[in-house]
Amino acid sequence: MRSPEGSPAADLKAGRLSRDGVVIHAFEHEGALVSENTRSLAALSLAGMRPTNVRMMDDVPSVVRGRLTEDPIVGGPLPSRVVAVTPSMRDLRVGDIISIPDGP
Amino acid sequence: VASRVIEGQGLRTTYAFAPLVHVTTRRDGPTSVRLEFSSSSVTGPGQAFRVTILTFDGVVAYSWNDFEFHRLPSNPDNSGFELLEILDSPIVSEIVSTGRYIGDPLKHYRITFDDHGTYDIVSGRLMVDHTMSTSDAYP
Repeated sequence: MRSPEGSPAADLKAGRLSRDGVVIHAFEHEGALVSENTRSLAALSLAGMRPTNVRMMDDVPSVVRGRLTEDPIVGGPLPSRVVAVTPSMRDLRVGDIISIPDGP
Repeated sequence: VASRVIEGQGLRTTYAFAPLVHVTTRRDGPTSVRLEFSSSSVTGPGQAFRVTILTFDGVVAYSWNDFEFHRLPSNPDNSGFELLEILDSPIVSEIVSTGRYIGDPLKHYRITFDDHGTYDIVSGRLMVDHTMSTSDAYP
């Protein structure tokens, strides 16, 4: 989810953005449901919401599956139920940790 | 196998959201594309990080596709967060088949930045350099 205003979670909380309008693209990996657009899922979680609009991906690009082989900053092996918030991709100082709730 | 990973220091995109992109053209001369991206991490403010500089010379085609839409100009199964060479590139074949191309053997390079997108560059030469920086200009 790309918000030019920069704070989708705040928009969700304030009702400027509808939870139903946030589409979470997901796929199965070894029995687990994995989100493709984790930022959107994190924004919902920050707003205290669970996804209501989940679309299963028919075709999962190899590069998306490749994410699961990257080294996570926190949360053990991927996929993980936590998302580390860092100042940038290279600055690994963890400012916050967002927990992703179970299921939609 | 239709692609190969180009091995070397700082050729993965783990620590960059996107590169700085410079396209240089000269009248009646070759086109160059330069991608600069951070390729090491920092753990505090003001720390220097490594910047990888990829300079593609003799470029005959290049494209960028937004990660969001997963569109690639060819070989959709060959991509990763690293520098790749597409080995059976239909773009290279098409250009060579015209008989008009003169220069170093063409190669099709691909590099993907997570959540940002994929760069496809077909060129005759690639140079890899590194420098250190503390600049916030690198996304």
